[in-house]
Amino acid sequence: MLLRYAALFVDAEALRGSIAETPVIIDGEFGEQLIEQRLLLVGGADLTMQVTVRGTLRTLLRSGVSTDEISLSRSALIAQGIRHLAALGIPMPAGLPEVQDLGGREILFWERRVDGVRVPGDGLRVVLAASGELVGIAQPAPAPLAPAPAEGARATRAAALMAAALRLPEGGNLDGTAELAWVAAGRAGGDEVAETVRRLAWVVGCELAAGQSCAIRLDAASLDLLGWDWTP
Amino acid sequence: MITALLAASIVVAPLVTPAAERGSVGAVFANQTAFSARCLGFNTTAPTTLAALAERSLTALGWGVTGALGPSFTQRSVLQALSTAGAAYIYSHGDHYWDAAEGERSSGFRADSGLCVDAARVVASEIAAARSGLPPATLVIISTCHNGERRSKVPAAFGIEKRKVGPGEAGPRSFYIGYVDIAWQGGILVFERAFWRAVRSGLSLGAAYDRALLSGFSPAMLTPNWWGSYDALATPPRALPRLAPGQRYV
Repeated sequence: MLLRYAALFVDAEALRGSIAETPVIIDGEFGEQLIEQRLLLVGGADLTMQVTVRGTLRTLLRSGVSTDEISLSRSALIAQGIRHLAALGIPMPAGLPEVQDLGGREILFWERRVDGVRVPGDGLRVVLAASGELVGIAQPAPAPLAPAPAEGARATRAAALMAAALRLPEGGNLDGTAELAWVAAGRAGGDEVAETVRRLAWVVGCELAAGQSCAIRLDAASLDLLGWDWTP
Repeated sequence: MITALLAASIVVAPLVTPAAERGSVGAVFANQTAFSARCLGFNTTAPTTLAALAERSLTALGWGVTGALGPSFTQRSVLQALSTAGAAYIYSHGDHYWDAAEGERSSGFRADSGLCVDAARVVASEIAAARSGLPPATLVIISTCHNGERRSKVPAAFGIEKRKVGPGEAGPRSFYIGYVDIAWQGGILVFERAFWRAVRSGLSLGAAYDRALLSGFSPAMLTPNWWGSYDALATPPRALPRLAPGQRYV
């Protein structure tokens, strides 16, 4: 399988004489077993793949892809990304991806949504060089979600803002934003994720006394504190 | 090893490293006080986790590690450590601060010093002065807001030019990572965990950066950036002598 993928992106010259390392079993997210294999290419680059035991590609990473900054337009990058997905046999998700330059690499990110609500960080991502060449793909196992509270049991936005205001540290302010999202609870109600199962939550934007941005995560039904995010 | 780093908010000795070890010591400093529940108003484990990750990874790669987590991360202790370090990991507030000595805006980060706010700033010109005569650092991660921006002067203070030398191209054995604009904590944890894991697996620093881009952070919440050589490795270089004033590594 690795050679099949390699043949899509690597020229025959580099492929000839390449060495495939013995596959190893690793633990993926959410207890999923993955098979990881690396192909060492002539010239020093390599290609690493992680697949599930059923053969679903989870990640593919090519090292040694040029960092030249010849930028394509956003639409050309999306077209290139879709072409790479098609070549790998990965179904294209609905909608257009977010496209963002991260240090000279272009990320195409189709963030997962469930009933229109974001699952932050979860979803298909394609990393391209600025030229559109493929650097990597991640198609992670979807994060498990707790059952959503029934529509009637869900706290309103206004109630979430009020509950968040009561949680604010001294000198902090709400910034007026509040959106539903599927988030994982933080350790001891803090900032480090402690659970794998995500819960529907109100994410309320705020500002700390020192001027840093923050976000308070409250259970969408009970408005119990799930955790925080913030900027150092 | 990390237990030593975390114990009693240490200043790790010796801050004057023997000549033979110059360039093979990594400095790990994390601001804990400003990010404690007392100062933020909620629980955070991020400084401890991130410092432990950096310390464990650098140790596994063959670096000796010095540093501080908490109040003993002062302007003085960090500049002393950086004056000999070949690798550095800094976790704190970061911005483009006014540099009174230079009479212009510079870039840098805040020390811990046991203060919630207004701890001493450590700016690029001070780092550059402390590192005068040293070869460029091998690996620098400034885990703060703003120090991945093109206007940041911190890379140059570590001797790292703000350009990307691609795979297969000859370039310095250096790699710098910083974040553009504000960086959200949740994203930093995910990105850095993936980066260090990839580095420890033997990938070059550029490939490890690419691998970390595939991890599950929200790109809207974190904008990492890098400069240096894609092919650079994270292992310590052969010890290089400190140069006399006027001499320079080229």
